[in-house]
Amino acid sequence: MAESGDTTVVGADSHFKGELTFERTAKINGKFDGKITGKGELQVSQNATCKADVEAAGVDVNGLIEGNLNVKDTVKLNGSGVVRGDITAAKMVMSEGASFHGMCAVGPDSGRSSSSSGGQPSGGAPSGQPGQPPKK
Amino acid sequence: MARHQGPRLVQCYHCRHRFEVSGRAQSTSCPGCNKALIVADEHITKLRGPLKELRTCGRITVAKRGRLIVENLEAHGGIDCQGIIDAKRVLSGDTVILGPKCDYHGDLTAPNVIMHKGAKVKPSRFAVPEDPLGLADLGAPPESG
Repeated sequence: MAESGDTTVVGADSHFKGELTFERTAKINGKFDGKITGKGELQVSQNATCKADVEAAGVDVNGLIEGNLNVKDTVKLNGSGVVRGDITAAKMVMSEGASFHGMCAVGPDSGRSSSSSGGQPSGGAPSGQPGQPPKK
Repeated sequence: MARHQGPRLVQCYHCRHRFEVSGRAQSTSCPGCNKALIVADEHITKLRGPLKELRTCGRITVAKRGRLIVENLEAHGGIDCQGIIDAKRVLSGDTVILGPKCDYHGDLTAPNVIMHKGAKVKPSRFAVPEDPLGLADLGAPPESG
C-alpha cells in the first residue's frame, strides 16, 4: 500500500485483505477484500475490485464494489462503475451505463431509515417479490 | 404532446409480443393477444393516483409538480421523473432519469438509470441493468400490424 500526497493507494498489482482505515482519500486500483472505513473519499478505479463494506464521507466508483456502502455525503457511480450491494447516502449521482443491484436509500434522512426494508409504498400496497422482471 | 413521426416498434405489456404501430397511435390492440394497449406517452403534471397500475409502451414523464402514486408502473419508453413517484414496482424498458428534485420510491428494474445529484430515493431495490422486457431473448424480427 502506497501513499502519494494525502492519498492512500492500493496499487493495481496488489491484493489487500483486511481492514482499511483512512483519514483523507483512499484509492483502490487493485483488489481489496475486507472492510473500509474512512472520513474522506474512497475512489475505486476502473479495473479495481473491492469486496468490502464501505463507510466513508464520499465514494467515487469506476470499478466494482461488492458490499454495502454507507456514505455520509455523495456516492458517484460512474459509467463504468458496478455496485452489488446496498447504498445508503445523502446524495448520489448515477451516470449512464453504471450498474447497480441492491437496495438504495438516498437523501438527508436516508441514514436513519436505511434499516427498513424497501418495496412498501406509502399507499399500503400488498407485499410481493420486489424488482422481479415479468415472466417471458 | 410531441408525436412520433414514423412507425415505431412496441412490445405488448401483456404477452410481450412485438409489433409496429403508427407513430401517431395513442392506443392499439395487440395482434398477439388482442388485448388493449396504451402506446402513448404519459405526462404527469399534477397528482395522479393512487392507481393499481399504469402501463404504457411509451414514455412516462413526471413534471416538477407532478406526483404519481401507483402500485405497478411499466413504461417501455423510459421514465423521466422530476417530481414524485411513489410506487411498489417499476419496470422501464429504457433509461430512467431521476432529476435533481425528484422524490422516488419503488423497486426499479431498468436497463439504465441516470440519477442527478439531489434526487431523493426512499429505500428501494434497484436492478440496473436488467432486461425487464426480455428484449434480449427475442431475436425474431418484428411484424407490422
